[in-house]
Amino acid sequence: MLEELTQRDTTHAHIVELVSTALRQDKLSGISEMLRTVAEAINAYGAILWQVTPGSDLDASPLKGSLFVLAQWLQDDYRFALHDLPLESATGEAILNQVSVNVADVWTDPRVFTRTSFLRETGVKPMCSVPLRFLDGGMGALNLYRKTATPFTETEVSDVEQLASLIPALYQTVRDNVSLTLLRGVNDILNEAEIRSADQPLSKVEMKKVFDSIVRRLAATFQCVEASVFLEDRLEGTKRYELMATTWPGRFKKNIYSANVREGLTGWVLSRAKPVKIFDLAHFEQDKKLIQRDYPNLIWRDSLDIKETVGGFLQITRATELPPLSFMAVPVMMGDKVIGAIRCCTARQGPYYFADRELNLLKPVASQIASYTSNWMSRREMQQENESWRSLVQSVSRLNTFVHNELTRSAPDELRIFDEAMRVTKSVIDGAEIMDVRLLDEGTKELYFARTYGQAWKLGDESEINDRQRKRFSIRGRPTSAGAKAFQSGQVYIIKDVYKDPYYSETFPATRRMIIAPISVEDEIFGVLDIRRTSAFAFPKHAEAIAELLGHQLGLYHFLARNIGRLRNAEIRLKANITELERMRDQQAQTFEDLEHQLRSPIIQAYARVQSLLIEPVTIENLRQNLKALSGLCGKAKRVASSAGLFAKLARQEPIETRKTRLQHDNLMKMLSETAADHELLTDPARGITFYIHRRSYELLEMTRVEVDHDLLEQAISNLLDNAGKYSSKRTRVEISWGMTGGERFQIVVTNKGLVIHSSDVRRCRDRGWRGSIAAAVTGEGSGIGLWIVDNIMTAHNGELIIVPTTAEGSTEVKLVFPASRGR
Amino acid sequence: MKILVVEDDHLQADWMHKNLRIAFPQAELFQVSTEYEFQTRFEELARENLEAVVMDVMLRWADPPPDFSTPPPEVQEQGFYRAGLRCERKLAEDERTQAIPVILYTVLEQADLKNDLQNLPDNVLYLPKKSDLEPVISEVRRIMRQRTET
Repeated sequence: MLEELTQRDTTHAHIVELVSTALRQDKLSGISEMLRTVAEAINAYGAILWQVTPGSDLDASPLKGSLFVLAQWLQDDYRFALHDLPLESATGEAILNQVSVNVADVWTDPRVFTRTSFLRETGVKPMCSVPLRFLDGGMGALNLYRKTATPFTETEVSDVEQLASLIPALYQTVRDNVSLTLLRGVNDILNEAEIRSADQPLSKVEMKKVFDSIVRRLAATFQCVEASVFLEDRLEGTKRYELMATTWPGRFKKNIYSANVREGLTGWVLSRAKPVKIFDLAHFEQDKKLIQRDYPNLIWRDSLDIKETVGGFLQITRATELPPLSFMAVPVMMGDKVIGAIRCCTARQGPYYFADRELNLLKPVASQIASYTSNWMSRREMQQENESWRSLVQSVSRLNTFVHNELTRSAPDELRIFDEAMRVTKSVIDGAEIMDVRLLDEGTKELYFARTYGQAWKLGDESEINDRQRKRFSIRGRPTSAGAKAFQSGQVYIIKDVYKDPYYSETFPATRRMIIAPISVEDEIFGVLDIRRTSAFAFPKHAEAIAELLGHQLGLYHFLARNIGRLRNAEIRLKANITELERMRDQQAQTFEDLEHQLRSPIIQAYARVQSLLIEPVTIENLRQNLKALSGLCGKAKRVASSAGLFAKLARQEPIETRKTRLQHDNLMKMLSETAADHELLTDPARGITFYIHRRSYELLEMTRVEVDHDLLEQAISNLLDNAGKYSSKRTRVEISWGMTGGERFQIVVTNKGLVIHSSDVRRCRDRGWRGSIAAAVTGEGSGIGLWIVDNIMTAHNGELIIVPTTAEGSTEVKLVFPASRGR
Repeated sequence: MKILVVEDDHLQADWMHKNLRIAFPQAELFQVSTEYEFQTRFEELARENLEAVVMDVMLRWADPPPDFSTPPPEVQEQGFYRAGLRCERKLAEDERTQAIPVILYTVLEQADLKNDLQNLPDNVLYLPKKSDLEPVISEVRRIMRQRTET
């Protein structure tokens, strides 16, 4: 009785110790400590906790499955991690029969599977195996071993049975504790990171350090070789999962995954958004059917030679004694979107198996990571957006200054503005690689490339480059290009995938995405701004708004440049007109002054001669001479006075009115004779210039009707003879003739030899105020209005002034040509 | 007495010669019709010891070709309106001729020549052209008297 009580107390003490030990554990590997407690309770060398391998069938005949070491504790830290102990063993018997098996000598008991290094190397002799059932229904056994030959007593076995019965529950307690610790730990890490990022989000490098802390915590919790976190960085692209942190000691061949089942276990998790748990990667191919039943289309390729690699990490040289290379991975979800994955692989020490329990522990960690990452991404995107906007404001300010400087140049070049705008676009829109400005050709209603930006425009040979640059896009009718679409709609057009867009017309094969912003001011659209990206990554979210703003800016610049150009041209024309008006005004003033002098001089002379005649004794010869001189002077005064009147009228742009009567032969001859005589008198006799009139018969003007204003005709003839007198060489004859032209018109012709009129000057001779330089030098007086007046007189008669350039013989002809009609 | 008349209008020149001959029957009269002729005959004229010059202000440069010579830049720029003043300046710049009294005889109003008349030497006088040559004749007489007294 006393012995029984004592034994009961001892057992109770062991239980208390076991419970205390369990409650102290904060790691899953704490199970080893529990096994130690049990082993020490009965002076065992060590304890191994076995579990039936997942997928085993204990009811099958023959038995299917095996046992693996879930956890262990051995006195000398011996490591043993066999994971395919046959069910046909002492331990298997205990599990199958649910009865403890007590073996006095493992080497002699036929039930014991002795082909393990553990038994040989440790020298274990007795063992006992106590079955137990885990809380998730899994079956296992707790084995105790001694090196000494002393077998386990019944009491000891009973003790172990009692203690073993507590292990599943206590282990669960440990798990719960570990879960809380893990979650708390991860929470602390993320909170600390939050605090550090109060002012601005952590950089990616800093984030990786945060995740490094997390994976270390995971690895410590699960005692696994590898704990890794993969996350999607939206700023670099979607469905692209980058390794953020890992505890794997070696190098991975693959640091970036896409959501694709062909990319192995992690790829499957990312694409299916479901967790995966594999008992033993080393047996993947053997267990593939079974695995794919739970995980359809799951594949895995051993690119690392995982057995050897893990064996090296765990320093287990015998591949047969490797623990199960367990693997688990869960997706990191934000709503229903996969933003990453966490994976763990290969326990360093017991528990050597990732059960559902462990997988379920990984899920809340994934949620915490998802929540934090989501915030971080949002803040980073916001920061990037803010920076972009800030940069844009500064850039637009600089651009405005550039535009101002350009527009104030004497010859502003709008294309330079476009170049600068595209440089700004590249700096503020991440991913803007190939750009251009297309403007509308108003004539053909096509968009053409006005300006381009990016190395891609220079790719290819000269012919390819030119063909690309010359490409045009019609905006008529239904849009046949994305540019036309944007132009017609007046809205920014986004192409997320060129292969799926109905309007995209390829200019660059490498383009994947595009933003097309109209270049416009209010309702007027001038063209489009194209921004292309060759990678599959999306443009930042704010890129569209920025592109729209830049499109409006370019529209404004284009509008200003165009109108400034027009205003400049108008200003230039206005200035030219003002200059011309001032010139004409000065010329007009000078002409009136000239006319005044030309009028005053003959009048003064005429008056002087009359006074002389009145004073001096009169002789016939003296009288004749003076009267001839008076005739010439008065004729000149009359001509000048008439010119003044006509000049004033024409300067006011009033038409010359004619009073036409029929030209008679006698009148014409008289007019020609008197005018010729007057001009001959006015010409310096020392120069020896004579005037000769060719005579014709009456018949011509009898048979032909010519209507003229006689006063104006006299003025015109007088002007021609005045020119002839001034510009003829000395000792030459000015000839006056008249008759019909080849085209049945009437003409009066003045021919002289003297100053040369070149064909290039023929037109200018009639211009108001024009005189050749030699003409101005040899005549002095005069304003160059003589032929201009004659031209206007002829126009008033529906006739023509024809100036024939000086011939090789030195003769110059000037003709007055009038309309004529046959008949009396 | 030697009087030079520089006048490009032959009718005006004839009338002046006629009246000067009546007023100064002993005078030897010289005639120049263009600025170019004045320039080319200057040496000859300088040697004549002229006692008075009656100078038209607006003179044509030269007769038409073949006797034509291209005018110098100053003439091209200023034109024929100030030809007489250029000739007067040439007289003033030569010590042989600088003291010769010059009568600027022109249809131009004094107001038209305001700037040009401001800095003329004392031996240069402006007279407007009128139907009566008497003012010119009177001035020549004054010149003669002055010469006699000195």
